[in-house]
Amino acid sequence: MNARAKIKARVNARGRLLLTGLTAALLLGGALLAGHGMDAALLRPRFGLAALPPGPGYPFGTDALGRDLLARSLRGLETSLLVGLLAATASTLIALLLAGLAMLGRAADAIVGLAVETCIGLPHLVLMILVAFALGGGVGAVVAAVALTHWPVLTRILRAEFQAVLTADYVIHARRFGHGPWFILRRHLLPHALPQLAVGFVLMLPHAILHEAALTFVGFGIAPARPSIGGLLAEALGSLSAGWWWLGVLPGALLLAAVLCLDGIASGLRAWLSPRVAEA
Amino acid sequence: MLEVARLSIGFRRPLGLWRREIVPALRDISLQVQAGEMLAVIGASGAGKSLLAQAILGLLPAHAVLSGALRYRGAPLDPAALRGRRIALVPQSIAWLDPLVRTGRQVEWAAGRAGLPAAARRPAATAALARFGLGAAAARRFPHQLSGGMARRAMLAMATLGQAELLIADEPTNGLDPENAARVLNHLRTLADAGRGVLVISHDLAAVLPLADRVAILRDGALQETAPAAAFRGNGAALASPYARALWRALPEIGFLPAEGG
Amino acid sequence: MLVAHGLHHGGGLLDGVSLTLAPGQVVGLAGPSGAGKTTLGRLLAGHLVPERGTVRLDGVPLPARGFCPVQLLPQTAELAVNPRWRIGRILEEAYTPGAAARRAFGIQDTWLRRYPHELSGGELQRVVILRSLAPGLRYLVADEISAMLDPLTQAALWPHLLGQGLGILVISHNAALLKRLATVTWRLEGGRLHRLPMGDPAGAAADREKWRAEISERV
Repeated sequence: MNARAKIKARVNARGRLLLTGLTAALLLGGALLAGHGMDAALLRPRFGLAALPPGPGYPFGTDALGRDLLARSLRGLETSLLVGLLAATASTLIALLLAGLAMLGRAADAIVGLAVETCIGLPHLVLMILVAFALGGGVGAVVAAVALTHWPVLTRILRAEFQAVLTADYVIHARRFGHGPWFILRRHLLPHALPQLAVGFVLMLPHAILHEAALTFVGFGIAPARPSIGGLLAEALGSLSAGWWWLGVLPGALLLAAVLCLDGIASGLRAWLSPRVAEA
Repeated sequence: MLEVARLSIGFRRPLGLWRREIVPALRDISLQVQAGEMLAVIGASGAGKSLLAQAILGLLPAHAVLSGALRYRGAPLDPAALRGRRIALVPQSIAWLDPLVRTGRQVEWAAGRAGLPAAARRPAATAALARFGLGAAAARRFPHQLSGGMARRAMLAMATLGQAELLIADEPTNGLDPENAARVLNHLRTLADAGRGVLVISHDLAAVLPLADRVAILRDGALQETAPAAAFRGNGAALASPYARALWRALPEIGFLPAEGG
Repeated sequence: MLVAHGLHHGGGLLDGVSLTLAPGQVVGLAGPSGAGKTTLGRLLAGHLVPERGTVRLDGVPLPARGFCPVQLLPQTAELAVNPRWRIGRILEEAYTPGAAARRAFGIQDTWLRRYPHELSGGELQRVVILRSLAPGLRYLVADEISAMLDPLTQAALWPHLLGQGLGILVISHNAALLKRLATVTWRLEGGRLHRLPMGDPAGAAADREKWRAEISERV
């Protein structure tokens, strides 16, 4: 039996999802550590080694200025992940706040609902560009741009989740047992909300990263001196006609791999937090 | 007609993070349903009775593990071939119906599934509904607009459209008040008297006893006893197993007595 | 004394319903499906606020805070518990039931670590019932609680509930059950309550006494 069948036979569905999550987390973490550990010299221009295709000693090749592409890509991934983390955190907090406010009363709920439905309909790439431009570009601007455009979906989910809990029979029973709003918030609402929050947060990361890449690519994001995947892709665009395919394809593939890892982590997280999992 | 021989059903269940176990639900069940008789399978919720119906109809979930034999008219039972045609289910709740389609239309669909040609479906559906006291008004309603009793009768109509020889009624009296419950069971009795085999799955012993021919008692997935309905009388001395006797005496109509020892 | 007076609710579902439940008294409530029995039960237990009319306990409205001395035992146990809580935690939401009480209700120790969806309907029903029997409880509204229980569990359950000395409103379709338990039975139909004659009240009372004696011998 090969390894895969062996695992399937001994580990149940929940365990498999957790394994996937753990593996993904390790991969991602490992990549980041590797990027950090790499010799800083690899990031400086070395004109003698310009535009080398992937080969021994240069797994990703080098770019037009002779900088090692793997080192740059990994550093870029780090930056993108950082931006993604900050943006996703900010977005999640906004969503949590708004969903909480919506629970205060019918008027509040109506206002929040209207805000969500309106903002969901707006084209968010255009909006992000506007925000990033208005704030003058850079990491901060990108974080703000992504955060301000991504809260609606999570708000909608959390609002529905909160609503479902607060109108449930078991909450009415809890009140009749003498428990106050604080107890209900802590013991009934939060256990439902936290898994959604956690999974929502992790799923927003790839979004945030991809959008950061897009913004930087378009020129409204991170300054070119600081490596980021979007920036790398932007640089690669100019060199495509020269046939230097690795400049665009490899960082792009790294980004894709990172996003898939995040997805795996989200699945693992969901499996861990949910008591009711598919039997297998 | 239907023979269940040493049927056992279990479920694979994840245990913690790594292992899985098989949780037995039904153990070594053997029973038969003949043409023209109503067999009632009685058990508490969780005793595995619905699983029996699901197994016969081939509707067990993917993580179920089955052993033993199911035979229909002597040959091994092939659910896919017989379901809807020779064997019909009267399900437990309207959750089995499409909530977005009017009842009359769904009965017509059932007629189609039973093998009737397109032209014959509408008249057959109308006739079937009428047989159970449901008219055009009911046919126009959506499932959630029907009362519990009416919904049950509509599902009866759907099940009896074709020439199903074996009817399986899963908890037919659930959620119905005594009058409606009796009405549904009477319909089933009439169908049995007309020559079909009827398997009634229920936890309500008192309701089915007047109408069933034989009663099989399930407890925790195991068959305690299969007794003729007439054995349930007096103080239950005619019943073979202590559990069946205790069950009989526990009925409010009889003694309302819990088992010995409280 | 739990007194409901002039209840109007649900757009005609309840059309001037008044009901009294004395301490320790068991009253039956029957009626066709959908007639409003569950709604009446929820109004009595303070789960709903009546559109018109009052529900008073010993002359004052039901308390807004603290453990309510009138508790509802619902028809479907699944909806009455938080699906993310383990059974052990669910049981202790109102008070901490002792091990003896748990055993008396047939609640096994292995269940305590499980989640609600891992118990059957009948088993969960027993958990929900025990959960409500806190000190301070004086009245129970039992909404079809034994409809999903098998006869043996039902016959073991009711003597326990009766032994607590509570005023109980038993909502049920089962005429034989009501005859065993209730001294008075009402029928809710057309938005109003009609007194149901219990046949031979003296005979029925004697039967109940005889049954209680038999039960106490067994337990």
